Amino acid sequence: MRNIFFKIGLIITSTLLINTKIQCQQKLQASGFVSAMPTFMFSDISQEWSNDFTLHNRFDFSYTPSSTFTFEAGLRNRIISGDMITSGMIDIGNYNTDQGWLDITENIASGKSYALNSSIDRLFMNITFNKLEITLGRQRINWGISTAWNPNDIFNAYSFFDFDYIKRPGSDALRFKYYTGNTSVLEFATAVDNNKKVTSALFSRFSLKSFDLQFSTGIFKSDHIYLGAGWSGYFNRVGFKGELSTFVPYQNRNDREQIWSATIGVDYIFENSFTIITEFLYQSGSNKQILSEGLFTANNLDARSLSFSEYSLFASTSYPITPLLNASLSAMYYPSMPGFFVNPSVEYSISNNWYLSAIAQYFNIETEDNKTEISMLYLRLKANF
Amino acid sequence: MKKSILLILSLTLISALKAQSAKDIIIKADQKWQGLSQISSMEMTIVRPTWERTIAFKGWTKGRDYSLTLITAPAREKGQTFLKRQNEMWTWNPSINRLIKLPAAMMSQGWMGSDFTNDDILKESSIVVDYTHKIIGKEEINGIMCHKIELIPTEEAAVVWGKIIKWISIDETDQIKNEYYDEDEMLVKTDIASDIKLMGDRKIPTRIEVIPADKPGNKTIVIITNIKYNVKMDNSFFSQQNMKKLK
Repeated sequence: MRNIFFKIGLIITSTLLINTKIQCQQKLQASGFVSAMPTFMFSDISQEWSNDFTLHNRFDFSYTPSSTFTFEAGLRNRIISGDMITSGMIDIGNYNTDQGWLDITENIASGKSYALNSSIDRLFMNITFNKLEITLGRQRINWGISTAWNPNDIFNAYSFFDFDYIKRPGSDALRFKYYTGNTSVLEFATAVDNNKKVTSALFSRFSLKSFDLQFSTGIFKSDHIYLGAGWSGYFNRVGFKGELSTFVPYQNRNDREQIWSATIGVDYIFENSFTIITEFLYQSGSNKQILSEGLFTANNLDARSLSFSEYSLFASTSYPITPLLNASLSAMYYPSMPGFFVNPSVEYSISNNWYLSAIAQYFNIETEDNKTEISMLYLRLKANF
Repeated sequence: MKKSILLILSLTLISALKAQSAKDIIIKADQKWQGLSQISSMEMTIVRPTWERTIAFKGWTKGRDYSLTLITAPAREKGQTFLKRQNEMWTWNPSINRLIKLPAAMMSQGWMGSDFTNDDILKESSIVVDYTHKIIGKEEINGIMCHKIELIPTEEAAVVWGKIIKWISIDETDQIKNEYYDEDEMLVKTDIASDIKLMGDRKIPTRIEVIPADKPGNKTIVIITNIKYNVKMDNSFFSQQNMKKLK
C-alpha cells in the first residue's frame, strides 16, 4: 500500500521533469547534480580494504504557477556498490526504509553487490496568503542554528558524518508560517513519522538588536513534551550561538527520564576568510546505538540523542588556499568515551559547475566492550546543473 | 589689514563654492547611478591569469539601508539570497532550508572571491555622506571629458578607503573611472566603466572592470544586463519572507 505513494511521487516528479522543457522557465525550475564517489575503508591499512562506489544524482523541481502557489519535488537517486554490500556490512534493506509517514523511498533494483535506491525527499505544495504561508507534504523544517548538532531541529535530525547529503531528509508535515514582521516569524508544524509518531510544535523567531532569538514548544514523537530555545548573533566579528532543548516524558513516566540537550558555539571569520567554528554539546541521554547501527545515516538520530557521548566537542576550520581550492579540517572529541573523530578535506573548483573533492574521516572510539578504529577515504567528482 | 581680511573671506568663499560644486557633482552622479531604488540583473566574471568564474545575480535595492540579492548562477549557489536591513544581514540557503545571520563585519570581505566587496554590492557606505569632496582637475578618459574629484573620508566615517579619486563625465555625470587608495595612500584598485547604454529611463555605463593594483592579470568584470530605476518598493518588501520567494 505505502508503495503506491512512491509510484505517485515518482509520476509527479517525472511529469515535472518532462514539462521542464515545455514550460516557461520562470514558472518551472529544475536543478540538481550528478556525482561519482569511490570510497576506501579500512581499520588497519595493511589489512583488507573495503572498496566501494557511489553514483549519486538529484533533481529538484519547483513549479510556481502563480504568486500564491508553489509545488516542489526533490528526487535523490543512488547506485551504491562494492565490498560493503557484498560482505553484508551494510544491509541494503536499510536503504529501503523511509523515515517518513509516506513510503517514498525504494530500492528499485538490487543484487549481491549493488543497490539502486531512489528517494523522494521533497514533495510539497505551498500556499501564500499575504503574511501567512501553508506548506503541506514532505518538506524540510530546519529550526537548527548550530553547525554539528541541532537540539532544536526536532523534525529531522541529521548526521554530521553524512556529508554527501547536504539537502538532508524531509518530513511529512503540515506547516503554518505567519510572518509577524519583516524579520520575525511565528510557526506551527505537525509531522508524522514512519512509526506514526507525531511531532507538533509552535516556533517563534525574532530579531533583537544584533541577535536572532527563537523559542519553540510542543509534543515530540507522541510521548514527550518539548521545550526549546536558541540564539545567534555577533559581537563584531565573533559569532555566538547556541540551542537548548528539553524533552519531558508524559507517558510511561516511570521508565523514562527527562532529557536535556544543549549546544553552545563560538565562531570567527578572519579578514582573509579563514574561518574557525567551535561547538560544545551536552546531552543527558547519549545514544550508543549510533555506534552499532551506523555512523553515517540519520536514521537512528533524533534531537534527543545527537551523539554517542554525553559531552562532545567540535572544532572546524576552513580556508581558501586559492579561490579555487578550499581546505577544511574538522574534529570531534568525546571526553567521556574516550574517543575522537578527524575529518580533513579539500575541494577544487574545476569550472563554474564542476568540483573535485578529497575527504577523509577517521574514527577512534572506545566503549566499555569495544574499540572502533575506522578510516574512510572518499574522492568525489560532482557536476551541478 | 582690511584688504587681507577681504582676501581671506573671498578665498574661503571661493573654496566653499568649489567644495559645494564638487559635492553637487558627486550627489548628482550618485543619484543617477543608484536612483531612489533599483532592480538589476548583473553578471560578474572573476578573471585570474589561469582561470575565470562567472556569478550572476539579481538585486533589489532601496537607498542604502535595504537590499535583497538573489544568486542566479552558478548552479551550486543558485537560489541563495542575502537580505540587508540597515546594519543587519541574513543569508538564506535553500539547499539546507536555513536562515543564517551574518556579521556586519563581513561587509568589507571580498564578495565570493571577487575584487568586489560586500560593501560594493550591498552599498553600505555613502560616497556623499562619508567623504569630503574636492575638484582637482579635468581629464579625458576613453574620449570622455571628466571632472577629477578627490574624496577623503570624514573622521567619523567607518569606511575601508583612505582616499578615492573619481572621474565623472562632465556631460552625463557618469562615474567613468574610480581609484581607491588605502590609508597609506597606496592605490588598491581601479574601476573603469564603459559600454554606455539606455537602461530604463537613463543612459549609464553597463560594463565595469575592477582592476586590483598589486595583482597583474587579475580583474573582475561586472556587466549590467538589466536595470530598472525608481521602482516603488516598500521597506517591508525587504523581508525574510521575500528572501525565500525571490525568483
